[in-house]
Amino acid sequence: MCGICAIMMDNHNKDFPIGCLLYKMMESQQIRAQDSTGVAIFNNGENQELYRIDYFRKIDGMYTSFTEKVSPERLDKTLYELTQNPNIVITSVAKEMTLLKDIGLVRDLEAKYKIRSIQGTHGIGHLRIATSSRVTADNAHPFSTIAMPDIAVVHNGEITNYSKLRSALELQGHRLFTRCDSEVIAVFIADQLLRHGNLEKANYELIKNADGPFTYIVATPDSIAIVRDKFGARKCIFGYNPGSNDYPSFWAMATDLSALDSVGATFHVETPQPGKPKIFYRDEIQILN
Amino acid sequence: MNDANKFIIRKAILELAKTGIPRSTSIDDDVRNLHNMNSKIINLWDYVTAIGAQLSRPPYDPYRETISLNISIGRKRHKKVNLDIPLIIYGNTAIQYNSIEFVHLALNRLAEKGNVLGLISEIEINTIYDGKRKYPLFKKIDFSNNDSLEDYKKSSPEGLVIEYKDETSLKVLQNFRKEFDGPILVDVSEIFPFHIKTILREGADGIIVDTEKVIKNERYKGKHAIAVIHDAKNAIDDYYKGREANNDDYDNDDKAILVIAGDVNSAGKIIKAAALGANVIGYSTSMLIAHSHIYSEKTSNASSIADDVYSHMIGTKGEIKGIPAALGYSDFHNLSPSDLRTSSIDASLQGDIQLEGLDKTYKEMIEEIIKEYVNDKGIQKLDSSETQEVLRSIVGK
Repeated sequence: MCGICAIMMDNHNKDFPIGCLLYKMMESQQIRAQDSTGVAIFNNGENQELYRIDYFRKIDGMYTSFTEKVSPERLDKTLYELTQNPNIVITSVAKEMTLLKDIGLVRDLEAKYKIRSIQGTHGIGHLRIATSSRVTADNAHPFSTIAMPDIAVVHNGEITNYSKLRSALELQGHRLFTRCDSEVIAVFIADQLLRHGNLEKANYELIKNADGPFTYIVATPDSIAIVRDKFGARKCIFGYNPGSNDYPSFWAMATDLSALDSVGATFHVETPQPGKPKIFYRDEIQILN
Repeated sequence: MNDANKFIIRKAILELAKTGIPRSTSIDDDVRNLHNMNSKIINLWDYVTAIGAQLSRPPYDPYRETISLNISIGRKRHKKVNLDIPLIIYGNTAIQYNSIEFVHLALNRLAEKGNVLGLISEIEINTIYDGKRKYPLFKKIDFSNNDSLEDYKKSSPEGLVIEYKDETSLKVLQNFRKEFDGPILVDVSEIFPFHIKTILREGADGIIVDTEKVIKNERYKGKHAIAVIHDAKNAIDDYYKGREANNDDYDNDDKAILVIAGDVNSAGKIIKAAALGANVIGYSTSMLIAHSHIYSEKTSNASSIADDVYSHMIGTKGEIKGIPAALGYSDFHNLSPSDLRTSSIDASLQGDIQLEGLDKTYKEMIEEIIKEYVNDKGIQKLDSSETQEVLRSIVGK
């Protein structure tokens, strides 16, 4: 019953506070899930020179978020040092992405991080109701990975063969920080992108290898992909706002139709086909079948 | 039915014959209490169960949704063999001579209906009942006669099986690998758990481990089949870990398979073995069914014996499809150790299986206790190898 959403601005528009659109869509879907929330917003012009490493430190059972900005030369060493500490959960490594997440409602996330004012070309959001892992800040979505920077995933459903996929990824030397099945998606896609760099192929590989009912949205610095499992067991919908209600034009994707309504994305409404990724590119809005 | 069960039934019948008084309790109660009567016959398979579907993990409906059992045998660059059911009939050689023709007939019928499974055979099939073979044959190499590959090619096998005994076997593998394009499986039961990396490095497409043979080895004395499967899976994983460490890239097409034979002779055990890491089961029950006609009171013809084998296999297929579906899988091969739970500490230790109600393995529990103890006493923190050493001293190797 999680809720997911995404926005891809038309014409590479990065001056609009995309956070307010995500906020509206998340608020309209809050009824679906109330345990934790999170967003990942791309190309807001913040982290151009330095890498931003976000992590939670677990102190006496409580998670406190920290951020470190490091030069590309120091990135590997810093990551190595952080991963040696069992109480640290790295949530993202980014140059072009801001990933914020915590337990609570979307209004709590807004109060803490002022997400509504964040600009960017595209972004994703998530509302979580915990099923297979605990309600903690590190288990909130979006999930990212240290395998490659600037990748984020939000997920609704269950990867039932999570254990098998996780073991295979760990065998290949990847580090996973949580016991949440959604983290496996982020690491799997990153692993595929490192091999061949093709997002569509990476998603097809995941559809082939992952089992269970799921829909997920994966975002990279220049694209957003929506993916449903081969049986289409979890719903998802996307639509277009051609520029109305004081908004510039954009594509919106969400679990519930109400979220598209909330931001006026009610044109060209479609549902992605099961087992076939739909990819929206930042520079060229194009839907792949 | 094992000897102990037979003993109870015989005892009950003799009691009735002697006294003429019907039993007031069920024979089943005696069978159930068998484990308490003699601890030696505890079978750890009985203490391992599959977890059921959960709220967040709805079961698939095998009647409407496809549950795949398919598997492809053969690594990159080699010709592959595809099975619709992950079973290869791998029976006792002594039985084969009598019954292989009936099994051949049943396998052909199964293949015609889209249920292709394999057969490992050392002897030639005469195919008197149904000429053309429609299923993949893995020809087992007989070391006692110095046949060449050309001799084995006569029966046009899709795959080969080498029983690894010593260094000579490795040379055979090297030679056949150069000339044979299909999958080569190596039975390592006699030397298990050694030489697996070498065998895989030399191009074997899969490892066969017979649990019954292995637990007779001194090294595995007192251990159960689940320990053998767990260790075999780890041995294959270690080979790939080594390749990863050497930046020797591989993908799923290049993965060697694990074939588990021996006492995996029912659908329940097939599921448990697959969850522990087996990709294909070397299944002997079909051969036993074909063989049982010798003891049957009614005269059977080849067709009716093949029918029995066929029906049993269709039933087994239904069962091994149903359990992954109930666990929320659309693919049988997605089963993993996390789908199993056990009420036995011994089973948890031998197969790294999570304990019921705790969702942790016994080793993980002890590790946590060690950590807590170290923290409470303010002892200098142990690194992972030191923790493993303490763990070994507590739970044994």
